[in-house]
Amino acid sequence: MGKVTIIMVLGLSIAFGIISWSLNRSNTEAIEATTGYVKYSTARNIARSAINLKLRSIDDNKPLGQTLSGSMMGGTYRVDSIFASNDSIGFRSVATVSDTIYRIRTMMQRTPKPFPNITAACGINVDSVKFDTDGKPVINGNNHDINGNLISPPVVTNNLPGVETKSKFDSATVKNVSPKPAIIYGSPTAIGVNPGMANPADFIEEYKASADTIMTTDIAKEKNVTWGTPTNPVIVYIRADPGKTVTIAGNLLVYGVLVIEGSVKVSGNVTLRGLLIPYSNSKIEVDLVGTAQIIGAMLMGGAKGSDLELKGTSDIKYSKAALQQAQMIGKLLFYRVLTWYEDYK
Amino acid sequence: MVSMLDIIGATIIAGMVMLIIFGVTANLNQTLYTSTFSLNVQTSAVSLARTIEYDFYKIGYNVNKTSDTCITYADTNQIRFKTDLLNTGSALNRIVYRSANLITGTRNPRDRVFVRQQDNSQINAEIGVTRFNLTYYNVNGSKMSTPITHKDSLAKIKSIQVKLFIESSEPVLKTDNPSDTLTSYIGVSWEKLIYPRNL
Repeated sequence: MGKVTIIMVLGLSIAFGIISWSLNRSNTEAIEATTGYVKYSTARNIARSAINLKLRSIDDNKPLGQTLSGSMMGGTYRVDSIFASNDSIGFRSVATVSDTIYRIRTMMQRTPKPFPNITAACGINVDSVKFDTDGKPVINGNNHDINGNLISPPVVTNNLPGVETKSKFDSATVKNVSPKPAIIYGSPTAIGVNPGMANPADFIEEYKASADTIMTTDIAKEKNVTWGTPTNPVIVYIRADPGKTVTIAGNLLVYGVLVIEGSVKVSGNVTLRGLLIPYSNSKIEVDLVGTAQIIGAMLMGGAKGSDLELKGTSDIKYSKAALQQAQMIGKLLFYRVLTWYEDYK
Repeated sequence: MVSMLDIIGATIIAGMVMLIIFGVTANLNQTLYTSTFSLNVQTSAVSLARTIEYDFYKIGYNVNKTSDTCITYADTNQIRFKTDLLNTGSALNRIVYRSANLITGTRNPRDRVFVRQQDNSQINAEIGVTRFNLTYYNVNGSKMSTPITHKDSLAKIKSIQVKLFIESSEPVLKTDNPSDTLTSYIGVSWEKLIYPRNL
């Protein structure tokens, strides 16, 4: 009887042990299957988010080719640039969560957001503009290269008028400045009339909101300031409060878009490769009295009777190439996926 | 007399113990059974979800959209599309997903054969798929009516909602209906709105 009992107890123990082990194994496998999917999903989310972070870093003017790496959501990521040209970029994003690796390889087309349609080296979208010149200002609507050299031989279709106004009255104002009118070149005419010219008001709010640098104070004479690079153009917003004038007396070099709101006096050496937008809802005064050199174009907008003074040796040289370069400001780009491939292991 | 009472008492106690053991064993078997089916269903759902995601996110990869269409047929229970699945850069794969006939070899009256076809290779999965439903949306997020067969309409598909329901092939759970003991099936539902980036 005792032996039978012992055998029964042992047998039952073994049977319960096997059942218990099977149950535990099933539970463990079910959990592993679920957590495996969680790891895979998390890795995928990290890889995708990493590409968004990379695009954000481009917005923030980080170098395009710079590898981006870090950790988030319990995993790590690394994004490498595998291709870059003016209009397209390629990335490889690798995310790791525990033993799961998720990879994305993508090519994207990048296009600038709508940019003001530039139809002259100096567009004046102001009614009854007060235009005054002195010294030797030169406004040239013929196309220049990115360094400000006149394209030779010229491609006639790429040349524009030197100055454009909204009305004949204003074009006459520009033309009849005395005693020292500006030297204006352009094609087909030096001074043109374009009632439908681009209005800075359509773009200004976005430029102000996306500005990389906001200046509200003077730039002193001894200061050397550079904003942007040829491959990384920026938006600079200089704002003069009502009743005040911001004076730029130092040496300023800007690649991209320079927005000036209010009254600004440029007396130093200012070089802009891109687009200059003097703008305000109220009357403004823009005095270029130093050696301002604008390679690209200028588009002015302001209330009736606003003032534009070009003095000293200010040059405005139309450059299609400089404007194209200025459009590629990181924050003002659209991205469109051309190819997107993802896999995991 | 005392010995007789001891024997009878021992026999009764032994019988009760045996009944308890049988009951516990039966319950354990039932739990094991349920647990195994639950594991199978969950594993199948996860595997299928990963396969669908792997393929669907690649819809249209390396397809020349000016001369070719990424999705060639779209219906609620079937989709056909092209992609360069392994990123070879040479030839496109033609992939078909569809739910087919009911499976007759199981007690579940709803499970169907789930078909994944890649070029000439076809896999008929009998893993308890009882529902495979596809919904298509255009760029505005508006639902598109199916079936979609015209090239221009197919080109407008921008996102696909996949609904999947997998059930155990055999009934494992008791229902509240006392006369109906084992007619309930363990099920797993998976649903996802997929935006294939190459569309």
